[in-house]
Amino acid sequence: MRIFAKMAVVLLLGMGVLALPACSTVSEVTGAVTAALQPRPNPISRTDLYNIENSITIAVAGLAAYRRACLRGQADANCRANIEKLQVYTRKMPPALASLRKFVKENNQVSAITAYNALKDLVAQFTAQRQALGVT
Amino acid sequence: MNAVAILAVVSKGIALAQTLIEAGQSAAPAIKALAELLSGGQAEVTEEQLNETEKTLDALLAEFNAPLPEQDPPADPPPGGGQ
Repeated sequence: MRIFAKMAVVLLLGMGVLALPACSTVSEVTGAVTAALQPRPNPISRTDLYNIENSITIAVAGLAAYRRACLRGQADANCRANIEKLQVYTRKMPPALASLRKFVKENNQVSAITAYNALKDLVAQFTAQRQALGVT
Repeated sequence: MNAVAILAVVSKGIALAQTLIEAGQSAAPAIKALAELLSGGQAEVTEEQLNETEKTLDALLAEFNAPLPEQDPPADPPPGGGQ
């Protein structure tokens, strides 16, 4: 079951990054990150951490490219406002990731699961905000 | 469609391609890493790989999370209002 979930994530990620236009990339990839965080693995291993971090990297790579295009004046008219609204969530990611990394590396599974759930909620909120903004 | 409109479409396409390429370049190592791991080509993640991924992700998050630079104010209208 877990293998199938992972395969679905890879397919989503591949489609999102390689096949869709830039704005859609942000949409599809952030959706893929949400998929990557479900279902929660138990226990959370270093490999799971690696998967999550790579999935979020793909989403943030799309956002960073969107930001660069915005600063060059090549993105949509609302890009600055969209970026600032999304930053409310992405600025919470570094501390959430730091907690998850620490607990996984210490093999503190109870705290790792809590940190994992917090990160998952954050990504879900971020995805909902992105959809509300129409950054698709 | 006139030449100006065609040029605008071409220009937009070039900008979009540039954004796509940038996103792809940043995301490619992460996609490759996931693909290798899930294809069973790699049994265990090494400390070095994990650190490299974390370094990349932290750099991208820092870039995206940085405050946006101030926008230039709109240019003053030319004297006489250009009439």
